[in-house]
Amino acid sequence: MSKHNSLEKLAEINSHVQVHDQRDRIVVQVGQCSASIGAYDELESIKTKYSETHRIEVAGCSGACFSGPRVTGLDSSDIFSNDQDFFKSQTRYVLQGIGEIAWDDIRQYISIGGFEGLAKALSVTSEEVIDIVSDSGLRGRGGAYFPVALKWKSASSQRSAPVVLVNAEEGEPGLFKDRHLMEGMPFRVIEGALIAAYASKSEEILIYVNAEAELAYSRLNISLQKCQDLGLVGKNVLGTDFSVSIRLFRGAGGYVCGEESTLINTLEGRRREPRLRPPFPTESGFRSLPTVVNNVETLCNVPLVLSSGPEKFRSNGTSDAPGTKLLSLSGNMPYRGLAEVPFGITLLSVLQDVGGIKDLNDLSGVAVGGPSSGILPTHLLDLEILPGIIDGKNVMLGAGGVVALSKNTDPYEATIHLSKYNAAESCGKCTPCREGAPKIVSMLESIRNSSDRSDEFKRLEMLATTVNAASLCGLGQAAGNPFLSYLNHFSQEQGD
Amino acid sequence: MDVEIVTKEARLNFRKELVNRFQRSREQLLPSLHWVQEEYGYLPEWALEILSWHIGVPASEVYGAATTYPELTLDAPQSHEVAVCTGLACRESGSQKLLGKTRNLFVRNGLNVVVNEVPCLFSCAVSPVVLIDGVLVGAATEELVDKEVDFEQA
Repeated sequence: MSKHNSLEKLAEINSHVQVHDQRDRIVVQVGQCSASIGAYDELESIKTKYSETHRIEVAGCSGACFSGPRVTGLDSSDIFSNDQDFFKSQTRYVLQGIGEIAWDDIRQYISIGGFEGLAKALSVTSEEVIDIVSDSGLRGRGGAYFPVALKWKSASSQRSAPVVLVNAEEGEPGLFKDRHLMEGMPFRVIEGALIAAYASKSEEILIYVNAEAELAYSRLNISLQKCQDLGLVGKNVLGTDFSVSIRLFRGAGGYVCGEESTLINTLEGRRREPRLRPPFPTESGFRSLPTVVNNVETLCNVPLVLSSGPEKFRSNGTSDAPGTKLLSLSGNMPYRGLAEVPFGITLLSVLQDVGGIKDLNDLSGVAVGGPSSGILPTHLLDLEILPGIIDGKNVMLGAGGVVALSKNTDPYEATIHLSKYNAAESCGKCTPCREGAPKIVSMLESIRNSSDRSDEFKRLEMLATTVNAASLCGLGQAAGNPFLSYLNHFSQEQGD
Repeated sequence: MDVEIVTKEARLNFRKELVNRFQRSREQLLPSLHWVQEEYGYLPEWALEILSWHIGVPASEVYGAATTYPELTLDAPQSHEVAVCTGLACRESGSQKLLGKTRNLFVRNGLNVVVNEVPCLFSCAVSPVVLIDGVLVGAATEELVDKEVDFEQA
């Protein structure tokens, strides 16, 4: 079979799955969060009222969680008046189509350009796919921002065929982006993984889904079957020589499982602990095979890079950090939800324009990047959103969790809370993290009410720096960050 | 922990089910633990022993896995499973107060149920969230929790 008929094959599939229901659509956005605030009830009531006259479809959530459960297509409840700001200030690239198309309708997905990226990838060689992705400058979106093309290249140049592992563990407090992507556009996740497998010359894909994300798991499962039925997954994908299998795997919780070597241990049925590196997973990972571990958001960018080209991707963001980033906005702000913004935009404009925060005096700080990072004071919010460390010290963008803290929340208490989380989630393998992280918490708690904390703060600084420097994996290497960022940004203000 | 009396027949059936469902491979450890928990609501110790035999992983390691993952539990389920999220975002929406109110609610209804605190339920945009018998309740209030829990049935 020739490589060049993948596009024709896609067109053939498209004509095959056409349906001819011309009735007006009503789209109900059902996701795990919106279900918790009554999306299924809404769906039922709409079904009873309109099932005769309308085509009723279920989509994932568009990200405007503050106004959920959302229904589109009905004149009256089409758009909430305050929605405009929330959507207008975003750059929707990965999120395009989410909340608009039915999650399980492959025809609608193809109609918005779905599987075009895969078809294009399959019409060129693996090396050319890597070159295209390399031109786009796409970096991993899980928090480490490693160049995607480099990872694929490294894995594909090993002696044995690699395994592609989709990291959908997303166990970081304050994050819900990957779940939204899997619930709203499971086909795009699968397409991205397929392209990753083709580029890195892999024939096996494993998708590791967070235990809490049950809806995402079942939607991925159903979508996967549909793809298999249509010849998009399995032997001779789209009529080419490329064959690949996909398996889903359910996690069982635990922040540390998001760390790639721990994820691999979990898959192999071993202890939930990180491995020593090197060897890196791209050399020796799952079953000692070279393993490409990619985050869900990363993989959702891949089909778009191929279908609309690397230039389009680069038109957002900065030259060093092209593209967009999903931010999970929560805490003390009016418009909480999932937003997509280009890299390089300031945190302040995100909070004000997208999050709808009017008065910064209502805030005591903003926790960025979850428990591996720290809290920024309000006077530092004009920092740009960029991969890695954003305040030059210990606050990192991470995977993009943003929690606004109200003025009633003491940043000190929030710091203890974050540190506690790290201590509780430490797997216990290496001593600095196992012993040091809880020690940070107990020291912070013991000096909570003391008037002169400077001596203790010096000791804490040493401890936190040591934990960061000596720990084995990403969790421990960042366990000191909440305290260190507190020390940098808040301690002088409060007279310590 | 009380020793559970399980009939020989039940053990045998369990063993057969395992043989039918899971390959003899270490990689089946977590999937099979998930399955046992779905069947029984928790991981009974006798089941872990048989599981260990079937997939060929030492019982100590099976126990290790069963106790390190937050989603897995060795304790038989209570009449109601309730967890209030007290993560950073939920705290901003008053989850600490809600935790107290939820605990009081069970006491008032004469139910001896441990209301757990969880660090995050990953639904921060609809905070505060409470997980009641597997159902996630967003924008939770005392009234919503009251409505969701079927106190009569307990």
